[in-house]
Amino acid sequence: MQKSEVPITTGVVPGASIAAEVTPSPVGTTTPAHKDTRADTVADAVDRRADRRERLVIVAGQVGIGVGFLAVWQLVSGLWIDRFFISEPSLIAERIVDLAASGELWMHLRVTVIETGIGLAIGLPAGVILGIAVATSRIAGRWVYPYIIALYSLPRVALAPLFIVWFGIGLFSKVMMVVTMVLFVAFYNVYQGVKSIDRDLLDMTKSYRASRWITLRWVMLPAIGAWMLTALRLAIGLGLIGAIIAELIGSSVGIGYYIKLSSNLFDTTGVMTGLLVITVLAMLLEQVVAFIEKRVLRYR
Amino acid sequence: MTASVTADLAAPTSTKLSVRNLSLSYRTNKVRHLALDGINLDLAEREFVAIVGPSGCGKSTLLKIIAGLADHTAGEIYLDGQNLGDASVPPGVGMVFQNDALLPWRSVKENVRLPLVINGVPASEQRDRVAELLTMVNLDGYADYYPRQLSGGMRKRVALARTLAYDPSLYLMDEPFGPLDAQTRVRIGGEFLKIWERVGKSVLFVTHDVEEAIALADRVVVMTAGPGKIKAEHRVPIPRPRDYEEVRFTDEFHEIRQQIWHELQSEPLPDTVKK
Repeated sequence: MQKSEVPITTGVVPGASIAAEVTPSPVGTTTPAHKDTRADTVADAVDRRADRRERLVIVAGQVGIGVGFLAVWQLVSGLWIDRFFISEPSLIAERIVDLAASGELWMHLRVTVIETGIGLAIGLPAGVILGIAVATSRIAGRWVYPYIIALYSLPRVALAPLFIVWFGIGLFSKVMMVVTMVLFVAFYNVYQGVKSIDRDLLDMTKSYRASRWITLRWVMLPAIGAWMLTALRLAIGLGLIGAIIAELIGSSVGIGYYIKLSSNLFDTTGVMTGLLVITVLAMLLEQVVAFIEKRVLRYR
Repeated sequence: MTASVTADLAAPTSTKLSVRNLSLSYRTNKVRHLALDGINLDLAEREFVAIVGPSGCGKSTLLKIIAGLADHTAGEIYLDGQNLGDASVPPGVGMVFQNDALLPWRSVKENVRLPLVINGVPASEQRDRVAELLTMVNLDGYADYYPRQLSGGMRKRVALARTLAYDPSLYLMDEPFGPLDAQTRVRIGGEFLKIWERVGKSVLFVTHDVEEAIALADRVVVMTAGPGKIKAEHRVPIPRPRDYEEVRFTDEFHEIRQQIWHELQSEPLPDTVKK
């Protein structure tokens, strides 16, 4: 009863709060001022070990599924299902080695990557600008919005033959295909992003009479950062699909061309190889985006 | 009393803000609502006026209209004698928002720096000014923290420092200490009072906390709901500088508080909940 001591909650050392006198904070909330110096090393080591174990389990599972799938494929092929239909992993691996050695793989891959890259470089900024413009303008934005929706619902695959007529059989028609695929993703995400910006933040810059440029740089672009990264993530996959589709319809080089050529020759292994190359490429690029995301969204 | 001589000399130019017959109505579901009805309000240079009223009486809306962030239907607003047009953001008016409005992706020092960037303060001066302001609000050593790492009270300090950085001649404060817990609220209020007594700019302060209003303000305006109207005004005769906590034990304080409570209690409860 007489002992009315404040219970010391685990992890918080009284007196370790260096700045507590100068900058008092409400009781019960943890602020950076309450830095736990005592248990730092021990607790951190425990945390790190737990983290590492979890990561290991996850990676092992991911690899396991992939390896298991390939193993089943390899076993089933030729045993229950004809190799003609599903090929087999060892044949695909062999093919990749052959194509890499002859330089053919790089030739096709380079073209597809360039098409996708240029398409993304045009389509993403265009979509971002369009998204911001439509979302921030009160009248003109609403004029064009229904038409953008209409264009979005067009089956882009059906445009591919038309694009070849318009833009030729070379690089340009593929780039345009990629652009139509990714522009809308960027537009939609950015549009939603701008619409969901905290009203108070915009009111704040407005009340300070900030220029449009400062509002864009300090509020809008960072606020839609996460949305743009989502757009980028989706756009990489869609961009590759766009490039492959355009190559399937009419081209003389590229992974899509290689897939089509193989399929014309009933070369299942060739088709599978092309698909695998594209999948691996998409996975690698996904990792790049994940890395960017981690750096850009550090403030969270 | 001693200030009356100088006050008289400055009289003709001393009105900072003047609101004349300001009304706001809007339509929802084919019914026109009157949100603000003929508001008249004057704010002298360096005066601290608090508006108290029940939630939904339109006191926050009034601030937004003055700040140029919302439209009004009738009436005029004069700032330094200049008639402000409809929804134009006047210069030299700093708004402090209820929920801080800090940029989550910018550190404390960057948040405070923003108004300096907007005002075109040379980059070389920005850093010193930010450090100075952070000291002023007791946030030394927190320059590189991000808002999410701070407690509500500390975020409030950052928001205050940012408004000070803008250096407005009129502060519009919309329940700035609203979301804080009672203890922090009193502490921050006291700190703010000290800063204000040093800076000495005009303040229009909206709150639903009657005691906070009396302790801070030179004048307390009581607003009523549905439609929002000014019901009464009280001059707070407590001399400055004030002790934010001690002031609550004076007779003047009790008397005004009682009157205001009375005025607010005779009001019917707002029939609609503000969204």
